[in-house]
Amino acid sequence: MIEEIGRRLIEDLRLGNGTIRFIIRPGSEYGKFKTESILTIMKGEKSETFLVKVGICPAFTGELQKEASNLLRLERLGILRIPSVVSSGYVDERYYFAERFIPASQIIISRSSFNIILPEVRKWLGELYVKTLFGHISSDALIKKTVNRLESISEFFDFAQAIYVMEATKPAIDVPTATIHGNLNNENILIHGSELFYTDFGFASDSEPPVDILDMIIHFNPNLLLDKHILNTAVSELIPNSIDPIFLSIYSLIRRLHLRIEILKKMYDQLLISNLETMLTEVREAGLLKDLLSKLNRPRHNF
Amino acid sequence: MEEVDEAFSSRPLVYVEGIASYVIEEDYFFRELDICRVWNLIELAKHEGWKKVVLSLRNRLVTQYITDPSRSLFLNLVKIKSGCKVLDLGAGWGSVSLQIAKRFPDVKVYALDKTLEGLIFLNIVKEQENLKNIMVARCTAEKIPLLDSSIDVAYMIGVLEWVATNIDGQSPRHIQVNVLREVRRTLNMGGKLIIGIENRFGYQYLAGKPEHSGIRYGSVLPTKLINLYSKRVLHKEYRTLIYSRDGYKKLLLEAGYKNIQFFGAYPNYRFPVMICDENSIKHMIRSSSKKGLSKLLRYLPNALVKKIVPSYFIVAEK
Repeated sequence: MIEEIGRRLIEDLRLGNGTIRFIIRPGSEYGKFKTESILTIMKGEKSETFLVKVGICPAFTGELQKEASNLLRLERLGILRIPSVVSSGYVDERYYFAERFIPASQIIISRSSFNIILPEVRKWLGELYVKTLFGHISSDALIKKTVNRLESISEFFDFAQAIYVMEATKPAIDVPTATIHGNLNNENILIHGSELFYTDFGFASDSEPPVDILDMIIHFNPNLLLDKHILNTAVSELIPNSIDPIFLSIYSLIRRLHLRIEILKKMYDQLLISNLETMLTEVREAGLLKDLLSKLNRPRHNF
Repeated sequence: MEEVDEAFSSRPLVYVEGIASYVIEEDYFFRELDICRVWNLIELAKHEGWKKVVLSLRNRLVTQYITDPSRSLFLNLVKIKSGCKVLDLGAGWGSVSLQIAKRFPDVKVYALDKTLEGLIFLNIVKEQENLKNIMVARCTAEKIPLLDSSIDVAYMIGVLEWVATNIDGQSPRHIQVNVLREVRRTLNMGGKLIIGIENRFGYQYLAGKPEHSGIRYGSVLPTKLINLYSKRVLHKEYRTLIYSRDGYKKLLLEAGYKNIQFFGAYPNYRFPVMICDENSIKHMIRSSSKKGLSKLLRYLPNALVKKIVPSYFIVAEK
């Protein structure tokens, strides 16, 4: 099957008589609904390598289609340093798309790596938001969205306190919206030489508040969220000063928590995985949110 | 009388616990759990639901066998078209059958095994998951109760090495060839057989890991020698034959297959983290492991590394 995709790539990209080589890997813990194969087409001394993502069954077509269409749209808008989708389609009713392989490594989490990459990431996000600027949304509408998301996962988690914090920190002005990466962390930022590349656009969405920089901060060091001085410097130019980053961080964590649980529930229904309960306890966003709320609950933080 | 699916060549001899049986003799064959625990699991699964029971198992290997979607990474090797018929020979706990049936509702899966207990469990999952596209039957691998040319894709995952264990008289290799011929008989012209199996010269065995019969270096040494040793020390014949790449190729050619392709599986075919084409084996091992013996492999040429890969997936065509 993976060879069939290779043959289609040869045809689509007019690569002539290439030899197909591949390594098939399952997706990561939350991404077990897909496989991610490295597919190389050899032609004499030359070779071209692609990352091919295939749904493990037809039921996961939507998730992969969304990721591919996000990438294609961003590429059309001229967003640089993202994977370039070169082919997509169906094999055995299973959706796939192929992107050019980025031969880069993951960022290692450390204070120095954070300080080095922060300006670069901020610049890239600035370009993304300018090019995809959508409009504005009221803070009440964002709280309403969050309440709905929390309701749909209430059988697993109770984060009612998060809404109180959002109410207490809600900005008086409307929040600008644009297309966001939606899941920016060290695993999705790759480095090659001195250049950063951004991958995994499965959680990307348009008309969302600019939360990516906060997502990245909370993954690198959640304590930074409580340091107003560092935080304001880190998010400047991306988030207006009058918007409390805590408000957006909580909005974003619950958004991602909701998306992850939706995927886990679907995997539980569509596949035979039996450990939904265990997987839920390991959802990273739940831990981060719990941690953040408990830190905010300490007496020195008054809203 | 229950209706028999159109692909079956005859009616079963008997129904045991709702399982169509084409053999009568007992043959318990699970190494992961003893028979009492399996029956306990079956009873609990019936009454409390299979997912709850599997989740509470102390033996995580069984849980993983049944529910880890990564286990069926090999489903990416051949096409499973809508409406096709799939044979899972040696279905065991049913992990391959269940994953296919659940993911591809338009595909019909024939889950066959000689061990009754696994099939009963599989039947419970089938009913609780409302999977109408699995046909469960008990039979031997040498006599598959399916019509000629009725199957599009056949899987034998971790099966070929065991088929000769409880049969006396004939050489294990002869039995293996016969089983492969029998599977070929059920395949359509152009139908594919996928085998998941260890490499006789896999580096794990070269490093001294005991093979199926529990003998260190058992697969690496000449078969005649190891058979003598097995008879002397274990008081039984050495019958769990595994082969090298060339050995499997010969076996399959002898059974009448063509277009035989080999794929490397790392760290093993049972829970593969990666599967690759033959020419990418060195790259696969290098990218997945940073310690131990596999680290040494990076210094060897691919031609050698592909001969000592731990396991293979083999795709052969009728």
